[in-house]
Amino acid sequence: MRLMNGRRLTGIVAASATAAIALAACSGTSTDGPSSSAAGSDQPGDVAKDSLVLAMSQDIEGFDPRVQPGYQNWPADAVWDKLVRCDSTANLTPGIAESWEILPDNMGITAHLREGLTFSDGSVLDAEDIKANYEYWGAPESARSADYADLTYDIPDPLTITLTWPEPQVLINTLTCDIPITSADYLASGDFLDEPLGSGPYVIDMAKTTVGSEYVFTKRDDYYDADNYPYANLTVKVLDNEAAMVSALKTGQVAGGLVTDQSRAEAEASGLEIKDFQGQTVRILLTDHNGDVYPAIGDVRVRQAMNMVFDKQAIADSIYLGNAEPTAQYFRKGTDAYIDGLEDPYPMDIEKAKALMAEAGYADGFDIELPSLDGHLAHIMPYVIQQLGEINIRATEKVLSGANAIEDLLSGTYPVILFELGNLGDSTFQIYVEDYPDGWWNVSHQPDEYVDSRYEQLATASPEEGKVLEQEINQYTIDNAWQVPLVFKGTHFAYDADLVSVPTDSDIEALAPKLRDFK
Amino acid sequence: MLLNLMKNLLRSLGVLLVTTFAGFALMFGNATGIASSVLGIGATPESVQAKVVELGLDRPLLVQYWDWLTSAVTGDLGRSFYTGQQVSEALSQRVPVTLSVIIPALALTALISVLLGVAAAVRGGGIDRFVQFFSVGGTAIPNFIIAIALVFAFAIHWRIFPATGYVAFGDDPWQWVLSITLPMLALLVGAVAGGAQQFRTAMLDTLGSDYVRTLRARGMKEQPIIFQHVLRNAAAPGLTVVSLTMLSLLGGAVFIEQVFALPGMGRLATDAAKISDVPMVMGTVMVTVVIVLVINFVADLLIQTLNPKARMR
Amino acid sequence: MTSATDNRTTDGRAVRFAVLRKLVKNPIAAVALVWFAGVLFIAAFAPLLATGGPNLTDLGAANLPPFSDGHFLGGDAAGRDILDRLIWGSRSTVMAILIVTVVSVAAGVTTGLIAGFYRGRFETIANFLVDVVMSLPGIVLLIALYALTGPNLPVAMAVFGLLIAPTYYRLVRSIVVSVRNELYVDAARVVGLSDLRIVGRHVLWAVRAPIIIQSSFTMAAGIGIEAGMSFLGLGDPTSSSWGIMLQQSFTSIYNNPVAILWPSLVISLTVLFLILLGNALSDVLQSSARSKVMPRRKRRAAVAEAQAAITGSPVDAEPAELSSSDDVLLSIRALRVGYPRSDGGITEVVHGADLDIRRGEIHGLVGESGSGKSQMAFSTLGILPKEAIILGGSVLLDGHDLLTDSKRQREARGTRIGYVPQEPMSNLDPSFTIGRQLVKGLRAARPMSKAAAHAKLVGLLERVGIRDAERVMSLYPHEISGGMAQRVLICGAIASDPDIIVADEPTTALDVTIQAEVLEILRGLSEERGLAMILVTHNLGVVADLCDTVSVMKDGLIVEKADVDALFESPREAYTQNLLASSRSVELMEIEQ
Repeated sequence: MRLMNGRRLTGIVAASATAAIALAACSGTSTDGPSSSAAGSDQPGDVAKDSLVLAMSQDIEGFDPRVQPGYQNWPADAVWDKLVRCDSTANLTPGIAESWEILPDNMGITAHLREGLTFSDGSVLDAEDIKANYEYWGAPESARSADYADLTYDIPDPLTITLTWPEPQVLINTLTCDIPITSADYLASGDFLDEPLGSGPYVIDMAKTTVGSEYVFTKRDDYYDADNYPYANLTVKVLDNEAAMVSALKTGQVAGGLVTDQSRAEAEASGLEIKDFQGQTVRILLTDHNGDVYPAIGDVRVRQAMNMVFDKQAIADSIYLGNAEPTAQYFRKGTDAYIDGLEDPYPMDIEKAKALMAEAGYADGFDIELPSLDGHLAHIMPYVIQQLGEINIRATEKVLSGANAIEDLLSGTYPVILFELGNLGDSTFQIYVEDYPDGWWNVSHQPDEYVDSRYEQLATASPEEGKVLEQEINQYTIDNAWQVPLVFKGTHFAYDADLVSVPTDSDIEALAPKLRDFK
Repeated sequence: MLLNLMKNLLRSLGVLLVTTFAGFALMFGNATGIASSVLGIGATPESVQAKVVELGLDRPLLVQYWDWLTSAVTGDLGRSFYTGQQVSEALSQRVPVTLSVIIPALALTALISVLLGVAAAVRGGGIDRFVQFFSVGGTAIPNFIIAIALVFAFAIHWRIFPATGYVAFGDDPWQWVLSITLPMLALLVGAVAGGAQQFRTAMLDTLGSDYVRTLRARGMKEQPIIFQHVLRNAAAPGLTVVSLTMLSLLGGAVFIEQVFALPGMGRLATDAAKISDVPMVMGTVMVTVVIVLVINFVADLLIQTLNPKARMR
Repeated sequence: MTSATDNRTTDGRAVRFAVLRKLVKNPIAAVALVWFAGVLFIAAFAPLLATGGPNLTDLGAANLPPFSDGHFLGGDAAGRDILDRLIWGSRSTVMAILIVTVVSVAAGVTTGLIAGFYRGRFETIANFLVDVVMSLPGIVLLIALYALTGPNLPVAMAVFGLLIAPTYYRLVRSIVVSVRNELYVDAARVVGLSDLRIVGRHVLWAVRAPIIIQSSFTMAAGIGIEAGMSFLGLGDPTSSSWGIMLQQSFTSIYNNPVAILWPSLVISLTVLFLILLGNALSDVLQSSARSKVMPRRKRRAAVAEAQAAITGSPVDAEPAELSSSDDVLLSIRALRVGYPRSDGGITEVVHGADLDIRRGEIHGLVGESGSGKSQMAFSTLGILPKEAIILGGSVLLDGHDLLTDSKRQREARGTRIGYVPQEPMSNLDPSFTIGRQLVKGLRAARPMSKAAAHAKLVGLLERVGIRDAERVMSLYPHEISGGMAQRVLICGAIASDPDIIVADEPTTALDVTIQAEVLEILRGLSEERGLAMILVTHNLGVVADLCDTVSVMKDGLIVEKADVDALFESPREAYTQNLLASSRSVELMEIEQ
């Protein structure tokens, strides 16, 4: 399974690196219970509000439904409905499909579509449209063709479709959910790059939209879940300059948007409400367990020593201004893989670290390159480099830029990566991404018997068994020091409480509210 | 004069060809990088290769350029490699934003520079020292610092102007004025600083010329000398100043649009250039060069009309 | 020739010191110079001056306010000492401006030299390329380059250097084109010096000052662009350049706003001082730079001081000799004119000269260039350059002092006193037809209808020997010859029927044959109209030909005054004798040729 589209550097900076992970992955709506399928008929109309103006801190990547990142992508939430959605912990919730069954052994899904759905151009939505979209994802030129190319489709009637993979899928939910659905005809026409077409709660107003700067939408009153989207008009502005974002928030030009750790206090002081997320674990990935690129990293004692040189509390307090929390694990709290009450096995102890280095034969240290994207780690990188220097690891920052930056970052050339990387609501998915050989953040892609076998068992394991397996993997990677977890941190959604409220969390990445979370 | 115009036109075309080719050549040679970046992470080498072919990046430089050029002549500037947006569509949205900041800024720069320059050259004394001081100071402070200071003062502290964004004139003329005021001011400081100083020099050069002394000796009064003779003769160097100002305003817009989150051409170009979005970069380069050439051409034309020597030919 | 070049090089060292001395005397330039030297010094000795490396991190110092213990300017968001980073950053800044300057000078000056010296096809191509570069959106190119090379300050600065090289190209090319035709370059050619040596010895010498001046502006631009690129996120985040510091402090603008102040300040101040330095250099190095107009208050003080000096001086205490005053039309008494120096003092160029012109008299005023004779002429008309200061004396027209009565002087200009300038072409406004500017001038002096003025001027033009006067009236100055232009100017001077004409070297710029014609016209007009005339000239031949009386001027003083015949027969002063002798030898040479 290969996700993420890394094209825009701007999109990767700051919190977004996380987005890198989960991009194609799931978004979803925890509130999207059965009530939503009760096609918003007899709800009181007093919830309807006039307009909502939001700010994204990075632009979307155009209107190709195949390349829609999940990170604060309210335009995608607005235009496209999904067959099924993932909630914040990757459970499936209804979308176009009112109900569904997962096939035995996680081989696929049978979905039952709602009746009478139409796209915003008036055409009817049926199973053929669903098929066309999944096929589009499996096409050879799709970055994710590997995941969808081998799907087979069975359409017994226009409102029923079965998707079947050739083998069991551990991440069956993540694979099926959150594929934006546009009409089959529209996909074939090729016009979809100019203007998005979907069956979602809003329709884009291209006349008022300036791509790259401001996206304007009006509500579709006939949408089946219209009551969960109280705003008649939606505007999403792109404010990719932090100062501009805070200025716009402070002056009420936008009702809500993400602010950085550095601006959080200012936003709060100027009367904005802050919704804090904790969707990132700042860590150093050490994927070269075999020492192919850096022989020293192949030695577990060196990796452990690297875990012992950081004052995590000071990082949380000084660099993240108190908006972070020291951690010994890289999985999100509360997920299956997270081990409650685990004590940090590697407390800061430079003498011990030096001893470990000496034991491993690296008392004199070695040289490494730490990649970074456009210097978005400017605040923490100097400290990390300095602390690694304490045990004679001479680290230099290598700035990656331009079109190739993300490709280079994940190419395996740099197996030691410092990143404010996302943690996921679905730890299974995170294991895949970071520890399984196919995972794109496991940049060295080295197999490991212990981890791989347990991950593969997850496909058929019961939830209880799964939890045990995942915690075993977590403990194993901690013992072997596959990463240097530093702190949990997150994004901050600042909003004007008079204009909007955000009572729910639906984002599996825990980076920003989803469109349905705004009331 | 007609011959001169034709020559100028040909020369401009030549400049356009060479500049666009230079832009193309600069981005050439990173085909797989661009393709894999377009596809996103995880793309297989095969799909990258397929994308390279699809984008036409596997062909020789000259062929690619020729293709681009021949389509560009018909008005087809292609689509963004990344978003698939029509380049012409993007430009038609972005160029007006930049121009609606730059053109008023240019007009005001010209006006204020002339007033300050004339006052400084003619009156001397305090106003002259002010102009000199302002010129040096205004050029020394980077425009984005001025812009941020303006936001803090006039958008956040006194909420007179919006801090970010752009409202089209057609949507709401008054909001349009408000939305371009601060960006324009930020550009104006540096432009006027340069313009006033140069115009002052042009005025002083003309004021010091022999024929002005002779006119004085014939008993003509100061005012008609300045307004009829000196201004008229300082107009040509003044126009050159204006066309150079345009160039620096276009460059300055890149920074200003960043601060005010304006959906202008500068931001489009910056974003596209960062990721080697060739068609988009080429579109913006072409438009910028055309604007510069048109301004130069018009300035040249005016200078020639003003100059009897050139007019005769 | 060789001796001349030797002089040049020995001069060179002296000139350099003189330049430095003058620079240091100018307070702004001195501060700018000290600042710039300081930046260089700090860059050179950064390791000694900084308390730690540029990336030394102390998390306890993160976002510390300025003037904290051990962190004079506070700490940045990553816990690094801001002052230390500024010190280290000066290295990046110095490197950046060095690269920009070296690349742009190397590219611009070489091409400019070749294009200006050899011209031809190379120049055509180079001009075209310059047009190309000047039309390029430089920032966009730099960004596209960034996509290719990543954050690479030296490469970016080198490319920026190429982008601004056209400034040097244009500067150097135009200077070389003019120098190329100068005598000493021709002479060097004749002597057989190779092109390389000519360029090395003469041409480079001529362009050095403008290059140095321009370079200080280039450096300022280099610092600006480095900051700008960093601001756009295209800098090298691992460096501690000032631009990067500024950009990184922007990310915590709300959390630690004061941190923005320091890099902004050093960037702005360094740019500011570089510009000021450039301005000061151009004042000092370019002799053509006009002397500054003195502020009014200072001017008054200077005049008062000068007058105090006169009254104290015994020489001037005795009253100047007065000729029989009844037929004296214009009388200059103890005239003193000065110009401000850049150090605030005043250089006096006319030291108390007297001159009397009787009605109908043609009075020659001779002397070498720089003797102050033109200053005398301009004073009578009140058309001295703006910066000139009249330190004392009077100009009496019919017994009324024009210097103390500016209204009377304005009224006298054109109506009572006419002016015939030296250089005919530059004294006509190129943008107006002959007719328009003559009519305007005449009507300014004597109110009359346009038609009447036109008719009068056509008549006058015919009088001075222009046949198709109507056509000439409709021509632009560039369409007529120098001789014709001088006739036009003479008409301009006499059209308003003045009593006296001030003619400043009226024939110097003309061909020999036309000189004679113009002199003839002047003599004829003087006789017809009983015009008095002050004829300023260095040509004694002209004096002998035309004048009744002669005053000889030297170093701002009238050294001898006599009837023209008396002067030529028995010059009193040694200076006059020399003048006569040298003018005779010139005449002889001209005859031999």
